[in-house]
Amino acid sequence: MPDTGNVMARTVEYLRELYPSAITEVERLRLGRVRRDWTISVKQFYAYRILKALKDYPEGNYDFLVFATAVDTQKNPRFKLIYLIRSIKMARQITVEVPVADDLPVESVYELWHAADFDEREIYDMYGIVFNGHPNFKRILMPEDWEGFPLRKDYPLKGNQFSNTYLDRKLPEGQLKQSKHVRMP
Amino acid sequence: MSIESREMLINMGPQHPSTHGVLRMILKLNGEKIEASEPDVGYLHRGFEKLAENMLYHQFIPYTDRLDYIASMNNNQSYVIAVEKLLGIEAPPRAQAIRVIMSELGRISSHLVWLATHALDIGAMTVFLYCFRERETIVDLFEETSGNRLNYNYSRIGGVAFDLPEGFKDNLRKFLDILPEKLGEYHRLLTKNRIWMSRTKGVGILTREQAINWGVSGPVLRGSGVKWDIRKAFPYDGYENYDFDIPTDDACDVYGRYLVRMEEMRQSRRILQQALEHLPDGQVILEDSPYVSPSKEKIMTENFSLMKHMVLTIKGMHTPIATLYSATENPKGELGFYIVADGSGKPYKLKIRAPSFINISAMPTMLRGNYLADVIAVIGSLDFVFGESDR
Repeated sequence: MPDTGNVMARTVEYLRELYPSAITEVERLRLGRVRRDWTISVKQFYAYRILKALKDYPEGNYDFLVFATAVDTQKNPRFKLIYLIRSIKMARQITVEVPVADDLPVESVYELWHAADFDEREIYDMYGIVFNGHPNFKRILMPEDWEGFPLRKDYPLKGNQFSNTYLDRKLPEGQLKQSKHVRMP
Repeated sequence: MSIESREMLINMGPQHPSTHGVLRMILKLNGEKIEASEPDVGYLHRGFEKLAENMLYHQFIPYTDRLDYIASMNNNQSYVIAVEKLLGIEAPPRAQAIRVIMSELGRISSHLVWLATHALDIGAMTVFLYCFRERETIVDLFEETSGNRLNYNYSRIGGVAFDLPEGFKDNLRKFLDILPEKLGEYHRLLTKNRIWMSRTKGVGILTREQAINWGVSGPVLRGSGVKWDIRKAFPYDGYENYDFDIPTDDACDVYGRYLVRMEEMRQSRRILQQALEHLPDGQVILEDSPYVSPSKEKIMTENFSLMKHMVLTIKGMHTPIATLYSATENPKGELGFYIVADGSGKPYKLKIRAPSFINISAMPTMLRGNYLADVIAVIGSLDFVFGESDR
C-alpha cells in the first residue's frame, strides 16, 4: 500500500482545518510489517462533529463503522471510547479515541452509522457509559436486571452473584440498582 | 358484521429451531406482515472479553474455537494473527500456507452447514443430507490434522500446532476433485427451483447504502453489491499471492446472498488448489522466537528450553505496549480482534468484533414489510452463530 501515509495525513489535516483545537494527539502505529494504522485522540466536546466530518470526508467518505468500544483506563478521565471507521472506497481505516468521564452522557452516533446500534448498547452494558439520542437504549448481552457493569476493571471476579450482601460489599459505589436500605440483607 | 384487525406482538424464539441457536425476535405483525421487529440477543453470553483480560495470550486460543463453532479454524487463525501482529512476528511460510488451507476448508465447511440448514428451514430436506455428507469429508481432514472434529485449537502464536499428516494432500486433492460435481448437484436442486426462487427472491432486501451503514460484513455485504473482502483489502497470511475473485450480487436479497456463498465455495476451491500446488517446505512454527515455546524434544533435553517453556506458560510473554486492530475474512464476515496491550502477559482489553453480532442488528431493516414466514429465510441468509454474537 504505497501512499497510506499521505491519504491519512490529508484526512487529519482536513480535520485540523475544520476544528483546529479538537485533535489532541495523532499516533501512527507500526509494528513489524503491519500496515500503518492511524489513531487520533479527540476531545469529547468535538467528538460527534469530528466523526461526522470523517463520514462526509470529500475524498472518500468513511462510511463504514467497523466497531465501537470502550476501554476502562483506570485514570482520569476514566473511559476511552474507541471508534474504528473505514472508507470502503479508499480501503483505509482510522481509529478515533475519545476520553470520556464516568458520569457524562455521550452523543450517540446511531444517526451517522446504524452499525453503532448494538455496539453502543454493549458499551453501556459492559461499562455503564450512557449515550444520548440512541433509539432503543438498554442492556443487550447481560440480563436486563443485572447489577453492575462487568467489563469495568473494579468489577469483582469471584463470589456469589445472587447474594445481595456480597454485591454490597464488592460492587463499587454507584453501580447498585437499588439503594442498600431497600434491599433484603 | 365487521371484523376488526389489530397489530399483534409475538415472540419468536429463543427456542425456535429455525433461529440457529438462541435468537429471540419480537415481531409486530399486521396480519401476516411485519411492521417492526427487534432482535434480542445475549442468551449465550459467556463473558469472553472479561475472561480474556484475566488469562495469558496463548490461553485464549481454545476460547476462540467457541466463538463461531462452525468455523473454529478461521477463528483460531484470526486471533493468532492479531497477536502475531502485536508482537511483530510472522509465521513461517509453510505455517501460513497450512493456515490458508485450513481456513478455506473451514469456509467451505461453514458454507455447507449454512446451505444445509438454510435449505432445511425453507423446506428442502435433501440438500441438508447432501451437504452434511460433503462436510463429513472436511471434518475427517480436520480430525486427521488436529485430532478434533469441532473445536480444533490448531493455530499457535507463531505457526500451527502440528505439521500436516501423511496422506493429507492426497485426501484433500480427492475432495477438491469431487467438489465441483457436488456443487453442481446443489445448484441443480435449488438454483432454478421454482419454490426456492419464490421463497428467496425479493425477500429481505438490504440495499447497498443500507448494508454499508449497518456495518454488515462478509457474504451479506457482498450480496448487496459491495466488492469488499478483507483478504483482498488488507491481506494476511499471504493471501495476496493467491488468485481468486470476490463474488458479488446486486440483487440485495436472500437469493443474492445464496448465489454469493455458492460462488465463494468455488473460489475457496481455487485457493486450495493453488495452496496445495505451492505448499512450501520448512518449519510449521517459529523457532528461536522469544514468544514461542520450544519443541517437546528440546524441552526434554535442554535446560534453557525448559526454563523458557515454563516462563511462557506461567508468566506469559512481554508484549510491546501497543493498541491494534486486526481482522480476517471469516465465513460469516469480518472477525476482528482489538487488543490493548500493556506490556504484561495478559491483554489489558480484548474486544471481539463479531460479524454475527453486527449482522443481526440489520435484521429489522430487512424484515420490514415482509411476511412472517420470510423471517426464517432471512435468518438463514444471514447465517449467524450465537457463540460469536453473544461471546
